[in-house]
Amino acid sequence: MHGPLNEIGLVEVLQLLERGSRSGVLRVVGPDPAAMRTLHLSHGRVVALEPDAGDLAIDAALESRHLATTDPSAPELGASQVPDSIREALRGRLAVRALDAMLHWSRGRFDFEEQPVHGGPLDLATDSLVLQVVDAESRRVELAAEFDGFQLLPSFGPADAIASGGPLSLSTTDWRVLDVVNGSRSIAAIAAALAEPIEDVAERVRALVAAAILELRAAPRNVTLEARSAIEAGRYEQAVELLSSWVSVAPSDGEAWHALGLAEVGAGRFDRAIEAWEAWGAAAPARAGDATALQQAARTMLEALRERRE
Amino acid sequence: MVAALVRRLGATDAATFTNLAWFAARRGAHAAALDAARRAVAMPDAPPVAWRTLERLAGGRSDGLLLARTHGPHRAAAAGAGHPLAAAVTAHRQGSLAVAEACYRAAVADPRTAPAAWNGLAVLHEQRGEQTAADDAWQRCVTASDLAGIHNRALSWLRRGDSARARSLLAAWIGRAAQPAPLLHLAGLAALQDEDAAIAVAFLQAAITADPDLARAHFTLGIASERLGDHGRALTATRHALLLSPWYQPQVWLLELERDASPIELPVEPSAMDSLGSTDDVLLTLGRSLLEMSHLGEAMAVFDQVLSREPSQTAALFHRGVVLAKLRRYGEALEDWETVGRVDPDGPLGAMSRRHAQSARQLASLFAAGA
Repeated sequence: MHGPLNEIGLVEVLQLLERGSRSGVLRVVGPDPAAMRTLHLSHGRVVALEPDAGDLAIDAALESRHLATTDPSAPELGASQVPDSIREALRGRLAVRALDAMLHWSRGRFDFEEQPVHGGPLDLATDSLVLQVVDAESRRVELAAEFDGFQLLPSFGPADAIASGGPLSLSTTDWRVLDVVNGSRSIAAIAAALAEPIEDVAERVRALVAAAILELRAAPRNVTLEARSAIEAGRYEQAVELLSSWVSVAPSDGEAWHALGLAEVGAGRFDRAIEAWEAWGAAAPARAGDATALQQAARTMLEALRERRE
Repeated sequence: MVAALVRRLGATDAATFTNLAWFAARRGAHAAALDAARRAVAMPDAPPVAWRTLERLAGGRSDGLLLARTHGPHRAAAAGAGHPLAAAVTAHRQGSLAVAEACYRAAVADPRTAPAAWNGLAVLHEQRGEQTAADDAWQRCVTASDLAGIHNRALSWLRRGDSARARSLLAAWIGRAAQPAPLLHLAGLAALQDEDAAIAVAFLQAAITADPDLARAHFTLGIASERLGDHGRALTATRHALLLSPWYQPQVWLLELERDASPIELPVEPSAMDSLGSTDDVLLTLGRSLLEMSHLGEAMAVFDQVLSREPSQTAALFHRGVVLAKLRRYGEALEDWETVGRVDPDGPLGAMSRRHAQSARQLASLFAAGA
């Protein structure tokens, strides 16, 4: 059995295999053709997922979480020495997380080869997997609303407040969150830095705020980001207005000049776009080559328009 | 902020102190990290990660540190939560002896848990000095072939100074035990008490073969080897022991939740009349050997362990000062030696400490000038 994922999604494939209680190997290729995933199914249930929930992935995850070391002088602290119960719990989380992403793939293909499969480290039924994915998605949506799209910036609270709070019990994830808090990283950036699900990180941040260890503040307004959203939506004049006022107070913000040029092109004002990109090249010399190329393109467009008018 | 967290966490558990050391080290707060790591390894439940953290920090390194798992797998309580035996063992471990006794008495009514409950009761009576009641309870354990009970029976005789009866009981049961390592270790300890270090080594090596993870067997093998003048084997055994556990508990009572399940260890409280000697004396001997062989990180950790229980122990302070001076941490060495001078001004260590302190002051000022 095989087919493209844009015609039959992975959820449907897994449900079909589960209903038929099929055993075999399901190979799935998503948007990245070089990254194939291999699922082993036994009687319709996912029992292994390589490479995302394989032994090497578990070892790497334990090391990146500072729970094990590859230091040859400390073999007793190596990943293989971590109790099986912890390794298998981590495997389960990595598998669900990987499958969460795979279930959303609409490009790529799958190939199922029927063969005997005698168990594996996982035991995931499709229905339960879907429920877990839906639950994670619901948590993400709720938490995104609570934490301003995960853009809020955690920072440490006042020392007096930290010192005087009630009894405190911190998990290893809490310590890792605290390790990367620097006042300028958003919750989303912290989750990315830790390679942990954003909803899990947001919940830990919430608990640390409740414990008076952290406090949250809103991210400063990002005019360039807002303007880019306006450009994406075709609201070029609004973007030009935003960016023009911004560069008048922040003339060294190269990215703002870059976006202003794009907005001017969208509004059909190539001469102004050239001016903006000249300013971009001056503000960001490392991007001068890109700026010159865009200016050249704008000039070509400008000349073409003039010729048409003439 | 690190200091605020330290104040907030207060007297917490070893894993949290280890993780605090990790966090402080990554924030560049080396002194706070070292302090937290020392506090972690001074606790009986310190994880092996705590030991590594202390060693690296003591050597001036803050890379490659690990977090200690705060919610590890728990040993299965076969008797199950809510069972009187589980409640008894929990209360016993917490030192609530009256509660433990009531629960043990309830548990002896269940034939499945009766031998384990009698064993717990026997230990409890022995701890209270009620030897007749303890003897009676242990007799029931021996009759029921309860191995933890037999181990504890032998240990009680050893602690009462009757090593002959202890060794005789152990000899009768070692060959029959499914898990003989604790009995073999106890036999080694008894031989050591009888000044028979060569026999002790044989028993202890057999214990390690039966259970390579039995930390106290490695520790005791280190001591026995030291007595035989085999410093190399002593050091190897001690280092292996320290990887398994930072805490040397030569004598433990074994409590069970279920027959043939892995027993729960209850450290024996050392007493002034303890014929097996002080754990701290043993640790000091090991610390000095490590120091002489330039294993500074391990030596310091051993001296820290002694000082965590007895902060004015002059020999430990003196030798920790030597370790710190070798690590060029003259200011801290000076503090230790000055304390020795104050605590024991007329003793030989006091006089040596004053001389060393003078040198440390000069070196500290040299380094300060260089900086």
